[in-house]
Amino acid sequence: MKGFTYLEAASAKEAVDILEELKGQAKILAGGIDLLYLMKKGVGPKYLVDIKGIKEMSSIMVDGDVLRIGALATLSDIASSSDVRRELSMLSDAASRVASPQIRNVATVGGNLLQNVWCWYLRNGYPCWRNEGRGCPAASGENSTYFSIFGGRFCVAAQPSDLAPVLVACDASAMIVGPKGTRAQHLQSLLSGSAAEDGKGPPPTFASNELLYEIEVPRLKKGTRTAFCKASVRESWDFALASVSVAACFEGGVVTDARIVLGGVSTYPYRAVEAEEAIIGKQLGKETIKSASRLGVVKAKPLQMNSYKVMLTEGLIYKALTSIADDQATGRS
Amino acid sequence: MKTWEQFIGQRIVPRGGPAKVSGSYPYPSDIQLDGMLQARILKSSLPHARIKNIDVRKVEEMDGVACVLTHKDVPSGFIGPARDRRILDSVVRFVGDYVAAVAAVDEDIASDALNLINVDYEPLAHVFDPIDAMKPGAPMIYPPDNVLRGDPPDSTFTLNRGNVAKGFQEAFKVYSRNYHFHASHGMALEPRCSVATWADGRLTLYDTNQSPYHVKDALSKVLQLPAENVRVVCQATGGGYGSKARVQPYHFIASLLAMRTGKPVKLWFTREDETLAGHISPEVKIDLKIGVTRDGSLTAIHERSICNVGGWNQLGDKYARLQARTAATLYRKCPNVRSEAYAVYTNTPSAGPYRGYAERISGFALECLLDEIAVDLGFDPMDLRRKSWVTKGDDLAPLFPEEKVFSVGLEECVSKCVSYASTGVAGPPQDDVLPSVIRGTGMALGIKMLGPRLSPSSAGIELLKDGEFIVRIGTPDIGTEQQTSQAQIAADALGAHLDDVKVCYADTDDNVPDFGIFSDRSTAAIGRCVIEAALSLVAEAKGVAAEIMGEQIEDLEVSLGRIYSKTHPEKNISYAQMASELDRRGRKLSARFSTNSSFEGVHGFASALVQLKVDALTGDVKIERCVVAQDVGKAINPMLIEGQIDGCVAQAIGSAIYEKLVFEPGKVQAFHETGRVLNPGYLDYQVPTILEMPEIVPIIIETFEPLGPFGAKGAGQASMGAIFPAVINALSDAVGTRFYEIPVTRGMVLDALRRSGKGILR
Repeated sequence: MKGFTYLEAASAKEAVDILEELKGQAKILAGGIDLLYLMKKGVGPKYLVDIKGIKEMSSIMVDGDVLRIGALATLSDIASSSDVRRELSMLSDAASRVASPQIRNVATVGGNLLQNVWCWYLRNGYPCWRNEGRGCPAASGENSTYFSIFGGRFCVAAQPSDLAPVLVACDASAMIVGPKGTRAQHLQSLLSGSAAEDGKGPPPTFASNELLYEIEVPRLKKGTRTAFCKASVRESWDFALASVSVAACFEGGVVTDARIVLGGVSTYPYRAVEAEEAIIGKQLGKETIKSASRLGVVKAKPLQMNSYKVMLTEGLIYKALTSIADDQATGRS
Repeated sequence: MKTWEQFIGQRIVPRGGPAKVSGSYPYPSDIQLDGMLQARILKSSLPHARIKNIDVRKVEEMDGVACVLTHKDVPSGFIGPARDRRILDSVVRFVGDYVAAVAAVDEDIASDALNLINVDYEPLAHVFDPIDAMKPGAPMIYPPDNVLRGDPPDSTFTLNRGNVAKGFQEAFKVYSRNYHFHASHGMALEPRCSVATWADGRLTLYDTNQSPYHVKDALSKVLQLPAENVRVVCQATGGGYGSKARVQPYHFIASLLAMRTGKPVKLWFTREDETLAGHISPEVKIDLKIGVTRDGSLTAIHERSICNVGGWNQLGDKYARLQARTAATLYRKCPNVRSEAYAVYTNTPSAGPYRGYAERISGFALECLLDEIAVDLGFDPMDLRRKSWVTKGDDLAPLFPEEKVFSVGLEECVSKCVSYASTGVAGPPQDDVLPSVIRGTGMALGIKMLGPRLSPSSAGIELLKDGEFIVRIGTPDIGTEQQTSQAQIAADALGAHLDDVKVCYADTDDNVPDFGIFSDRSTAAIGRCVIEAALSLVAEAKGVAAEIMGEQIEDLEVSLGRIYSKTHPEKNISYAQMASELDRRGRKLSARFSTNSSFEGVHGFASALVQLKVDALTGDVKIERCVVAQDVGKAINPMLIEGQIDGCVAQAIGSAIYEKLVFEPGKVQAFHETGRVLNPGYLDYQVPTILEMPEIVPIIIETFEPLGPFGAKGAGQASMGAIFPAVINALSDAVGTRFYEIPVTRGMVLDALRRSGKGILR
């Protein structure tokens, strides 16, 4: 590991001031899961700004119409929060499926959303777009695992966060603190910037002097049912080969609004709009679910080695929608 | 004899257990010595290249660097009998091959120093596929031939029994299939680590390996040190599975760094080093053809296998020999068997033994194809095998027609496993939400041949003056706890209390040479030496007792630490009393026994029944239950054997559906690191975790092996060979198609579901 200077920030403002002063040479240290991994591989910033002391950034609370999750809340905090369980059970489910218990106890929601991709070329130091080089070795190489089936302009590694698609399915926003104050940005647009532009580092809409402060999730409308399904190689430890997050609002047994977001299969949380359209205005019967599942992957353009993920994703959409339909039919909440 | 069953067969808690679970067991990486240097190895980034020049000047000028070694600085001799591998070479033969080594005052300096070594490579043409490597004009890894030859050099690894052409003519139906077994890795939890010290002309290596005496001999020979000036200590080895079986270049590098600097040197592998430059399990391609009569008798088996041994040969020739023997031995009743095995060099990491070795891979193809045949012809899969499998008294023609197989527990193994088949595993209730869960059951047999022919083992026993016995053996504890089972054997053979028997192991200064702990040999090979040494010590002790007690030797017997008069048991003397009496007289009791043991006729057998479920929507496979029956001859310690079976289940499941080394295929020329392993760590090389473990039902079958101590034979590997094809057979049963490529990935399962029409959506 290369040497670095360790700094602590006592408030979000102080953290931003330090970031501003160090002009791109500093990284935020929260849980440190991905950052320390990369630093041990010799990739590291000159300065680390530890924000773990900023207490208010760890809170999880219901605030009027929104659920606020501080960027420093750990995945274990989310998984065990009764507020999250009550308001948004699929987020609890997703948080409890990330990595392993040891990692969840340390990893933060901010780090989970902003982590670098899990591409074995990048992690083995290949000089690609994301690593001071050019091109994407995975595009034509070994791309059977954590890679996109919906294309990618420069990088084909999938967005690795399990929480991102869940939060996008709930139309969550990121609250970002910068030198000029706090701004809100839809999580979907924040994460869609990644890789879609130049594939480098953090999304271009997120400046090096900004700090992800908290996630604001609108509370679900009455009659909304949710489901999260994840497929990974093993039950623990692994990133999603594919995941599906669904939030569907029912009125009189008919779906009035729906968001179906796919994880692990695209460079950003992928809204399966065709699948959403296929269920809106309908009852969730078996044939509807079947055709929505098919339509959810209609735009897939798999890479050479990951076409199985198309069938997998279709199966996961089917599972998620069936579970929602089942809850709706039995009145389970 | 009743007295011989006091401790044999008991569930004795492993002696190393408490220290292992509490973290105090002494692995080499725990060793800290004053002034100790840290050493790191520079690995090749090219799959095949000549080092034109290697410039280490910048490193030598670095503060904190104590020594740098390149191929110019080390003895140039071969490190082993294969005559291919040198300590460091001017040619690198796979990505991850050793290039140079640095010792520095700390780990960071040593790591940074590696980046300052300037290597000027001349890239050479490379070949990754063993079949390509056999073609004329292929790049030569070690000229003149990429195919390994036997000894004598013109021999190939071919076995012939009967006439297969005739056998196939006589068959009612002939099946021919190609199997591809991908390269994998044992992923021992402990990466390699050596601590070398050099003082007063004496080299000591604290290491993690499976054969300290072999490492000692190699160090002595190559570094030209007198044997008595080399000591290898290797108490705890954090998993080996065959990968740490023989001497490796790093042993010499650590030693040379210590000798050159005069300081203790610790050299340890990162996980990536361990994966690349450790020792992988080979890629094997098998063409298998089986002929069968209308009543299910096998008329002929023809197997042609090609084993990719990678960039240097670590027992690859032995591998080929065993590969050729598996079918002929397990299906001894099949009159016509031809097996050709080729071990081939390529520019991939060096491959060698991994739990179950060649029998596991050859057996996998056999057991999968026999299952396919049985289903196709409507036979019970075990009835089909039973007609042809080896039974007690069979000889080992054609290789060892004079050797007989004395103990075979296949029938008992199979009948025990089958009794579980009808008791289905209850699925958790959430399975009922979707009608997408399909279940499958599969069975298979496993075999493991014991130890190499004529391999040395020894044991020494001494009675200390306080009445305790010290038993000295040569093998390390790679998790099999020989220090526990050999203590049980010694205690019963000595007629001593188990608590009075201490076992010292794996320190070459004890001078009890041993071939090493692998091939399921240690319990049998060392156990026999322990018994022989114990018996001669007991004979001597009876002589002393007779003298003290005024009795005739033949009237004495030993039991639980005392020597009794058979006729007047009230007349007796304890070992402790005798020891103090001997001490008073200035005498000692000790005995040693050494032998070159051969267990050609001794085989471990196993059968496994696997029940699993597949989610037809997602291709998710969950193994629900493994019933494993293993013929161990005699269970010295059932608890230790169950531990071995558990380990086999984990690794067999990994081999079957998770574990595969992924190599950069070389399509991306711009990226130069062609042939690199892309998944050298635990996150991308996916070994099963506790959550993937099924219910395990271990069943121990005792058949009494006359060549083994108290009837025991090996117990660590035969199960592996049975479980892993049983998983594949169960998977085939569930999804309705066969698999010829291993491991079976999720993509393959989904594809199979689609082809068989068992998928829900497509």
